[in-house]
Amino acid sequence: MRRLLLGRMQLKISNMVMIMLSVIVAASGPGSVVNAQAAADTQRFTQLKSETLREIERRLDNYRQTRESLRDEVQISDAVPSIGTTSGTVDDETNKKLKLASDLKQKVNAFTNNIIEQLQSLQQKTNDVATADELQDVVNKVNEQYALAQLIDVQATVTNAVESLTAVVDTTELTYDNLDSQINKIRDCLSGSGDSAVGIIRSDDAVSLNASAPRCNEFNLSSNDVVVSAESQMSNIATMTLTIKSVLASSLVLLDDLVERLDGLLADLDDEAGSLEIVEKLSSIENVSDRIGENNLTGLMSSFEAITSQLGVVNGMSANVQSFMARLSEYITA
Amino acid sequence: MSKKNPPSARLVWAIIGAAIVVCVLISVLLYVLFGSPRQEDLSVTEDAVATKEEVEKNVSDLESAIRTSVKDQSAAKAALKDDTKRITLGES
Repeated sequence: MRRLLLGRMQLKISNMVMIMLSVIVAASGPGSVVNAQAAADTQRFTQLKSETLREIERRLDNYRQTRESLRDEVQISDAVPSIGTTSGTVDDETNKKLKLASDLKQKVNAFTNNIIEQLQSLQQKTNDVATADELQDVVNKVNEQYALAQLIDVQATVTNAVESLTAVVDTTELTYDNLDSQINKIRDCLSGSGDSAVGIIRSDDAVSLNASAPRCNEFNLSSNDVVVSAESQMSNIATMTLTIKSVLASSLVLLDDLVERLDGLLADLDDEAGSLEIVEKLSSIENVSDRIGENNLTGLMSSFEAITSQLGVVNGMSANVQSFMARLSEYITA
Repeated sequence: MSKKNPPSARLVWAIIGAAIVVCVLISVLLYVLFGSPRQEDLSVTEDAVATKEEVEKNVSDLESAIRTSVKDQSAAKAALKDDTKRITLGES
């Protein structure tokens, strides 16, 4: 009997313990869910914040590199080019010195500086955000302004590439002129006419150098064919160089137009941002890319892409010209 | 009675004088427009002919300019394709 009573009491106690445990578990359930949710939110906030900072830093690195390359001034000689004179195809338009418009690089530089300042300000803002809403605001801004920021970077890198090509054309023309002067000298040396100090001595069919002729011994005077062959090669080089120049000329005109268009599009933001500087406009207007217009941005981007692919073609052609000139120089000098 | 040149002789001298003045004016004008012909002669000297070393340097400078141009063109291409590298925030 005592055992039965003891058994029942044990059963009741264990039931009560079970019920109490159930109550505790039931009571603590929602709290655990809330805690888990909060932990997930904090993790997502931290993750998004670090992603945002990483992306801003990545862009800043790119734009700073672009700005550095824009600082390097391309050296262009003051010599007046004369490509085409040998073949008698002097064209005043194509013989003009090709270079960037005087204020174009400053404009592009200003755009790049503005974007860098804007990103630095966003970087600071991202570091300071404490709530998810504030962070979402920054994230939206970084995403929305990407198209415009990328366009400004593309504009700067393309400007740099076009300017580098002006240096290529300039050096090509200088080399051409110097080769031309050497060929003229060979012609003088072979003809032996005119100034007696410049010439060769002809005896029957034998040709020998006039020892007093200055610098004739520096050149290949093996036969009259040297001049014919050299002039033919110069004519090919001139044709290729003129093609490069015409592509460069059209790229310069297009680039100038694109920079003006972007300048105009940003100026239109005045309606909403008053007389603020571009960097302030970019930071103060929501959804800048949308305001400027997707088609406008895409159109500009396509045009920059067209210039870049043209530059690729003429860079290849320039390498051929350089190799022809190196071979010609070897051929005409002794 | 004073002895005077006949009118026809004075006319001849006047024409000769005018012709001399015109010639001087034309010479001055040509000098102003084209400069001294001697200067042109001086520009055509042996120094105008480039040396082998100069052309070799030109060719080497050209090679270096092309390298820079190709590098800058690659940077432009990379900037155009930057979309592929960027993180689209908030989409993970």
